[in-house]
Amino acid sequence: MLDEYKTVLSEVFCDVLMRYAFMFGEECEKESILLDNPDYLHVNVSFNGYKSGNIGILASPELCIEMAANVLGTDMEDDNCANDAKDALAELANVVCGQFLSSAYGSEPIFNLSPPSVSEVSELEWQEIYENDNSLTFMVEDNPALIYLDIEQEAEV
Amino acid sequence: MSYNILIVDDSRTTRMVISKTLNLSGIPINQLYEAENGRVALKILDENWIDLVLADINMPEMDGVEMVDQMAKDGLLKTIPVVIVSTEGSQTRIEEMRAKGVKAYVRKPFTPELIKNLVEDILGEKHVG
Repeated sequence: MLDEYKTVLSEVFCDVLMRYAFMFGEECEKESILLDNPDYLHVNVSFNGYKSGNIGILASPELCIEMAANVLGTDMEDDNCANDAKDALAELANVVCGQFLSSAYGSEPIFNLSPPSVSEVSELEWQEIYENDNSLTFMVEDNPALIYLDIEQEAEV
Repeated sequence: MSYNILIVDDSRTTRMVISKTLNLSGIPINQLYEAENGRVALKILDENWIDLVLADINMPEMDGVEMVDQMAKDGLLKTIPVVIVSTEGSQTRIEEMRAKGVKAYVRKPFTPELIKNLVEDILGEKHVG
């Protein structure tokens, strides 16, 4: 990932975390992230138009439940939070993607975003994404999270 | 007078946040309807009187652009004000939607106050929340 994209992605991720989920995120060195829970959720949003690619976020179910509680203004113990955890993560990715694209490319280009898809990630998948240069690592309220960006071939204008 | 408002978004979380905002806003709400995509929204519009639509753009089955296009083809539906609530920030897209008759465009993440003030302005009601 180009350094310019890394900076934008990092700033957008932290900004959206704060404004959407009222959570504080801080980028950190990959080596400082401990893989202590392989049962992470993985959300991916693809985009096409002026540029094509996809953005993905990996986060623990616990972080997603806390996010849902914050977004909905309820307690983490509320059953709805567990049910809505995946959806809250999906919407986070959706908003991050949209904000990243306008921050990176300005307000003129049109992009089409796919609906986010959420899945459970295996320890192997986590490791592959973690080791990829396209990913960044964060601590979000004492929970580790990964975000990655893939840009495909340049679309014809 | 109380209003029927339709919220169209594939994210249940977002629909809940908007619903909560509207319920707490002081705006007289008769009924809040929810749809997860444009196709379901059109069905609700066909079966119920709706005063305002708040809709996302990127949704499966039928997106917000196509939904607005379909509404524009109907003599009654085209009179219903539509507010787009989307993550997209393209000025080109915003102008495209305004040209289709969309009343306002709200970028996610939004504040509850923004939604409240916008709905009040469009419905022509001012309430102290």
